[in-house]
Amino acid sequence: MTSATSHVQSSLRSNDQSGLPQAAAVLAYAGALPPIIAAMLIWLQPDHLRPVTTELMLVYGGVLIAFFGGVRWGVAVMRPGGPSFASLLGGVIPLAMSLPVFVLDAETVRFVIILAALPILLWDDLRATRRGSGAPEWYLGVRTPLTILMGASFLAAFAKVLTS
Amino acid sequence: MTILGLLGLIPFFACAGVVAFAPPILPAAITSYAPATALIYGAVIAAYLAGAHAGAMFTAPASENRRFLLGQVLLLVAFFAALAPGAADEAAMAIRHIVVAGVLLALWAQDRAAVGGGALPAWYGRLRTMLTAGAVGSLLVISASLFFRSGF
Repeated sequence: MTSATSHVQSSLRSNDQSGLPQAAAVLAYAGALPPIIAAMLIWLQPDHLRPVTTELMLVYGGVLIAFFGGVRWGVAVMRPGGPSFASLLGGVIPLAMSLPVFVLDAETVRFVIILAALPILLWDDLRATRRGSGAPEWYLGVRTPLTILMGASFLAAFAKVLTS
Repeated sequence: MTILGLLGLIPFFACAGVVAFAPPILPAAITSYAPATALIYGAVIAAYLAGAHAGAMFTAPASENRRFLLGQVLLLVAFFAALAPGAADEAAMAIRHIVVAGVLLALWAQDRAAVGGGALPAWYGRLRTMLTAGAVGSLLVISASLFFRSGF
């Protein structure tokens, strides 16, 4: 068992009383499946099908970035005493980062935005949690391996798109 | 928070204004892209709000956690409506705007239910009501304009 896996399992066990973390973790890992499958298809499928899969994968990446921003916003709303401007900004910036992914035509730029945003958002979430203003620990226990999985999928797809 | 929320309404209002009034000083390229822009922006906002609900539920009491999946399903519906082929058909585009508006209303209802159950603060419910009214109103203005133009 890897240390990441044992960390996730202990994080989940520690929050069993709410009933949410395990459901959320299952959903979160299910959410990582589309980019993993898309990356495999981009490598394996015929050339004429690749643009459609690539477009769907990029849109999904944009949705993920917006969703992660929303999570930050939702966590900020629940802070005792109300949200701080900085914590709200931490939720709005990912939303702003996601918009070019839906608007631009250049696949390379869109991949770069997603590949840059995923680790930056994770780093920012980790930092916020350490300060006590972010998501609960168990969420990051799921989110860290998830970001690695999704980042690797986007990187693999980007490599194929660049070399095609 | 209210200011940031209101800033998020600007794209909805701008697109609705462009589609409804089609100011002649604007290039045709801008007016023709406005409906699709509003649709995609609406879908992105749906993803954001689904994430916001999930984030809030992470720290909410267990009894409010059961509606966690609904937001993910709704955001998929919004993206299907926004990105399905056939953007040239104005009547179909009008219906898509109604679908995305419906998704935003459903996400609002989900948050209002959480406010009612004590899982979300009351002030957040009021803010969500105001912002949803602005977003849904804009999408419906665009939809009505497109229906009118298509001569249904």
